[in-house]
Amino acid sequence: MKLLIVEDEPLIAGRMERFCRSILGDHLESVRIATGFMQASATLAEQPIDALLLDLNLAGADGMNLLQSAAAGAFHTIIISANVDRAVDAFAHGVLDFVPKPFTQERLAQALQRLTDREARAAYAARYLAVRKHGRIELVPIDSVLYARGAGAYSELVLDSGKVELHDKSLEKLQAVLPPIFERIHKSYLVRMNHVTAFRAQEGSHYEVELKNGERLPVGRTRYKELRDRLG
Amino acid sequence: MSAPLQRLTLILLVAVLGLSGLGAQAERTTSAPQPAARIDRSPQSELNPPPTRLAETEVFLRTQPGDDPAWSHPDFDDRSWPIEPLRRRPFIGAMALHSKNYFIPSRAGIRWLRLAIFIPDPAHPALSPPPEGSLIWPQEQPDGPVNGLYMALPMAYEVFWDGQRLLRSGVVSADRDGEVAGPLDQALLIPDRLRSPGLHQLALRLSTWRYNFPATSFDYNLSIRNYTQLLIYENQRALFPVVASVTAFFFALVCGILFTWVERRRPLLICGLLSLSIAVFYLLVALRWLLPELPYSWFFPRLVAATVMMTLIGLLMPWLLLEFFLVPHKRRWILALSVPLVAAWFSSPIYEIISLWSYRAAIATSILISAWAMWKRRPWAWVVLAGLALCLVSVQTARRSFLDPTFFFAFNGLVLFLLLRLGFDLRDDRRQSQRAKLTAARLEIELLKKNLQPHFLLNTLTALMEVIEQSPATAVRLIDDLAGEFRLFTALSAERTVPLAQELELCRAHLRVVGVRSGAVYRLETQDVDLSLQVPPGLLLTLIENAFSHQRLTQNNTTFVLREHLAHGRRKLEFFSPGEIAEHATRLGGGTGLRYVKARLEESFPGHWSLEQGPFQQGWRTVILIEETEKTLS
Repeated sequence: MKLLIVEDEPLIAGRMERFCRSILGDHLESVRIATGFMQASATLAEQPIDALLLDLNLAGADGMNLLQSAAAGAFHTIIISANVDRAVDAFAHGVLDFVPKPFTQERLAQALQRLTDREARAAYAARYLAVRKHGRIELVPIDSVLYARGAGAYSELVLDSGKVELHDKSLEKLQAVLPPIFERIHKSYLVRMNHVTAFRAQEGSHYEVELKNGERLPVGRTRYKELRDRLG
Repeated sequence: MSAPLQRLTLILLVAVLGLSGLGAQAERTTSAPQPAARIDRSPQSELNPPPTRLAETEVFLRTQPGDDPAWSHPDFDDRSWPIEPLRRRPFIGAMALHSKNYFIPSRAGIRWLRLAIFIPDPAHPALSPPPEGSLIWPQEQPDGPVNGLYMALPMAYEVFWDGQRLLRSGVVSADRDGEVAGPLDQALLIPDRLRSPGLHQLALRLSTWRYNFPATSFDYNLSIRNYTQLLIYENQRALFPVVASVTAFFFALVCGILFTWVERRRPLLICGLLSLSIAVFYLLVALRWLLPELPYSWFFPRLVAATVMMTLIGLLMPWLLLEFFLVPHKRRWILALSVPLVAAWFSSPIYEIISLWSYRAAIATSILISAWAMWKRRPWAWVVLAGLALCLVSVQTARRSFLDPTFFFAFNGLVLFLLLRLGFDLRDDRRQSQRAKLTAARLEIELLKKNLQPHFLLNTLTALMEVIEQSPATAVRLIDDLAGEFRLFTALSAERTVPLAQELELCRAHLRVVGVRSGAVYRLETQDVDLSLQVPPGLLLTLIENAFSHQRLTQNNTTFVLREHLAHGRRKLEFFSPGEIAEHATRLGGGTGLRYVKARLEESFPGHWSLEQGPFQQGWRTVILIEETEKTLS
């Protein structure tokens, strides 16, 4: 796991690094510290990371921009901030966790747990997904997303309007921040279950779901059973 | 002001200016003075009512230089004497007379005038026509017999009726030293027994050595009416100028009091001076009736003084508007105005005309100033403009009479308007002060909240967590510094101002706390600073917090610098924080902080401070200027 800490106060950054090493142990491949978002972006360009630990109140920076920028990234974001008012905002944008300052090692461990645990989700589901378009960040309301399709390291978000948006996160990471109504029906598909009208079994062990708009998406064999049992 | 109303006012303005021009033309033709070579200055118009619709008359005087008591006699044959025609203006039951030509030479020895008067017999309408040149005495009226003769004569004289001397005014003399100047105005009762029907002879023996106008000859005025009515009328003429003078003195006093003890605004001062000038002006006008015994030699200096006052008024009124409407380049306007004001003195030998032109110049300039103010959307400029336009109209119609109240009422209007505006301004100032106080209170709370707010406190506690585990001794010091800072802060924030020494202590405590957090050393240096200077609490602390928010402070040895400079009653505080300005410097936190500082500055030094910020030598500089006035020093 590669981590990037963005924190301008050295004492606190040091604390976070110490805790990360202590919590993750061997799982931690590298942890770097950036004191400002510019520096962080530069680091991100060099090497991709798995998770970002971000303080929203960096000197002079606009927290909202930082938040949206981070949420649009391919990595998970954990916010560590003194200003708890921003927590709701942060989760709405799709961060994994919000750790208030001051924090104990246990609390940080809780947040990092969501990173390592495959089944773990964000503490609160996102309401928008930040999508990077033409150098700007656009917020796509989750309510308009029908399903997400994996496309290599990225995900394609198919909206109810028919438009397709590209999101930097992998399907796996996306799943962690999306609300539970989205199920991973297939290695490459995350679907909003309340748009599913029918399950179909095709010949040759192909399974499908049919959506309200008539589209059909493949379902993984193992998942099919599971889903069908659960949802009936 | 709405566009149609503006257009209407402009049309009115143009119409008035046009009329004014026409009026000026008319002025010149009807009051053409006689051959210029003879006359340069004359007191003509105050002695004469403005001539309107004159009937050609055959009334004339006979006149002769020299002196002989026989000349008073009704039977004396004066047919060899030169003739001097008279203009007469009949009223109902009265008559006014004055010379057609400016005839009587001044300072030229004793002279006699003879006028034949014919009193008709109501019972027997004239059987034979009255002699040529004689004056027909006006008919008796319901309000009483026509028995009064009013004379405004700038001479020493004796009046003879049928050879009997009825009045002596001053002492007539063949030389200057012998003459004693009598009063300008005299009212004479012609008793009934002298006014029998038939022909009578009025004779005047006069000398004019004390006539001190530059002109060599001059005019005079006689009027005939009921004696009582005459006295009443003459007294009433005093009424308006006295009232006007007293009112203007009162205004001047009010302006003076307001200026001294309420608010020192220049418009008030100028309004006071203007009121005083108008008061003195009307006093001079009224003097003629208040001090009727003044010898006629005072006439000239009095008229000159009145005209000087009018010129002064002509200067002060536009100047008042310049100050009132905050017009730039006032000096240029005043210079431009002084040209017509000075030119007015050369416009006419008649002093009232000079005054009129001064007044016109003043009104025209005032109209221009108000029009400019209206263009620049100064509040209520159009009201003043409309009022002035009205003034101009009234001046046109009244022409040469100072005794027209319209000018005075217009002036009153202007003064009342000014005082009203002042009242509004004071009320607005008071309201703003209230608002500022409330704002300051609110911001104080916000500042307290901000300081106790999550970001600072929680970050500090997080740092403290770390420090405790690594170096307990440092942790204790950090807690101590933090407690000290909070204690100081809560104590100071309740005060309106605190000594600079305390503010610096607060800042240094804060810097120690932040220093431990970031592992750097922050210093606050002062240069030439007066530690006892009273400043709003949190002034420098806010600037320091802003520096941390918006600047990339170098990690090692950052030094903030505070300099003070006192010059010309202005205190300059210069605060420098080193470090690059972060690219996304936004209003986060810094906005509230700066607003707090400005509100507190306004509360403590209302209207006498300024705050400017900008980049300076790889850092950020804030300059605060505080003017030291009585208010700020208290």
